[in-house]
Amino acid sequence: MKTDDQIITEITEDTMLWQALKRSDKAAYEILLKKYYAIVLNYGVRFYRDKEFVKDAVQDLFTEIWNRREYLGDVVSVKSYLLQSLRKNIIRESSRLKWFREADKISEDHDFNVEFDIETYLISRDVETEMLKKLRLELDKLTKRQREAIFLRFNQDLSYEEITIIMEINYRSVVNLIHEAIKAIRKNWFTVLFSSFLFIY
Amino acid sequence: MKNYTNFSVEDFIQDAYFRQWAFDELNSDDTFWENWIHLNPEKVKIIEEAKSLVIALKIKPLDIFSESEISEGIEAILNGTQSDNSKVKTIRYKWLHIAASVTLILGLGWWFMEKDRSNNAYFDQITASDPKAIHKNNGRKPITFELVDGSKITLETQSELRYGNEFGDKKREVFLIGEAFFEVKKDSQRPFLIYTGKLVTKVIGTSFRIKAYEQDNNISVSVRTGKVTVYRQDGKLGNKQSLSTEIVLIPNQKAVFEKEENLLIKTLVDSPVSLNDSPKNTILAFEETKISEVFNRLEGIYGIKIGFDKEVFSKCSVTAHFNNENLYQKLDIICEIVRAKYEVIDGEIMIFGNGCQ
Repeated sequence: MKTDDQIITEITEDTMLWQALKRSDKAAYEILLKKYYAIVLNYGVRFYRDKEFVKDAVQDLFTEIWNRREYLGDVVSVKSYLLQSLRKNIIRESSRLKWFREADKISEDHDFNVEFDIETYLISRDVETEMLKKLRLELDKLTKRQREAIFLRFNQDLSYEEITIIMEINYRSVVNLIHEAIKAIRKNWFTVLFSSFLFIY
Repeated sequence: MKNYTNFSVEDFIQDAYFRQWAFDELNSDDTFWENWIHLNPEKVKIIEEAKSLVIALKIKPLDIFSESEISEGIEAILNGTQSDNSKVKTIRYKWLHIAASVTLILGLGWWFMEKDRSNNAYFDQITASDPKAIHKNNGRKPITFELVDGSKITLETQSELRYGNEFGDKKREVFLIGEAFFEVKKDSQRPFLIYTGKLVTKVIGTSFRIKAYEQDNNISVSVRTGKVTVYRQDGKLGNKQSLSTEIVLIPNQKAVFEKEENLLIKTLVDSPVSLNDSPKNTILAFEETKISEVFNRLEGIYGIKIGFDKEVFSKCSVTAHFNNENLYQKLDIICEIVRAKYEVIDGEIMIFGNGCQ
């Protein structure tokens, strides 16, 4: 978890590296690659569970950035640029694949796999399976876009502005997605949690 | 500190500092939230709800890709992008015959400029026309002054700094003999360039020290904050900033240029400092702590990457209390405990050893 100041410093540093990369600075490219490779990979695999497919997509993305470095534009945030590009590529590539084989298509209503850690937490606390089932049911009610927005905001520490870039939706929609998700969890989850004697600290 | 009095549950959830507290990630001596709750007892319910929601929103990490898979993936990309790619070449080739004549003229003009700049003639010219633009320190104490752009310079003894009276609107250029500490005012439109013989240091806004005495065998650039680019100025046609000679430095890293061998290397500063100056970082206690976590903490404090084989050292843990030891002393102690050695390679620390039982 990072504070707002840390996020801003990070964005400025990344932008400097990005400028250097555009001037063919391989060292800067390597720093960005090492910093974001795993993050981008783990984001991609949440859309599409084929490991090798996602690995290829990430390799293409980074290779393309180096090959096209002279033509790259300026970016507001390097991280959101990378995530947005991969997201686009995966969605496009997977629908193209559908013509060749029976691959699962991720279209407008793409998939986004997110599991909440609290289940593990509750299992470790010996919570009855009946209640877990109920909980999971409530969690499944979150839409995929809500899950993605929550993932980007709270797991990846991204700002609303960055999320608008990645998900290609407007600011208001991002705020709403996150707000609605929190509201839903708050309402449903809490009934489940506090109707038993469970306190999570 | 923010005023949290009117915060709703959702405001708290979105607050980074609050989330750190909810996840138990704050330093143990940071009692802000305990105090805050004590002073605002009517908010206890809101805080409790927000805290449990923060925990509820935590997403399970994926363990799909192993460490080795990730480093292999990075390696594959680096190999695939070695030197100039054939793809780019073919695109360039199409334009080559058109662009050739233009390049020649541009190139010549540029060469004359570069030539001038690489000897001191360029700077002599500046100084001749404007005597204000020279700072000399022949005294016994360092002197501190500000440049027109607001950058602060601390010039050590037997040192000299020259610059044009007014910087242009493209870049800020200065010429240094000797040693100085720079706190460069941020200006992304006008990078700050420091010429020291064959070495050029380029920054946007940051603080660092350069040592370039004429009688010394080497020139060094040590970074305190921000990022700095250092490259050789060869003055050859079309070789302004070749890839192999450019180095990006982050805090606590140092570039050393060996004049005779014409060699530019990246290493660490002699005494790395903690990146955040807060005193709570000086005391560091580990109790049976996994070595990966110990190195993580050190990386966080000094901003220096520590590389080690996670599998080999997976069974190692460390119990140690550090107070005023510097980074190297800490590493000596940790390495002693896990029977390892460390080396500074390319501005990073590498740990070598056989692991623990």
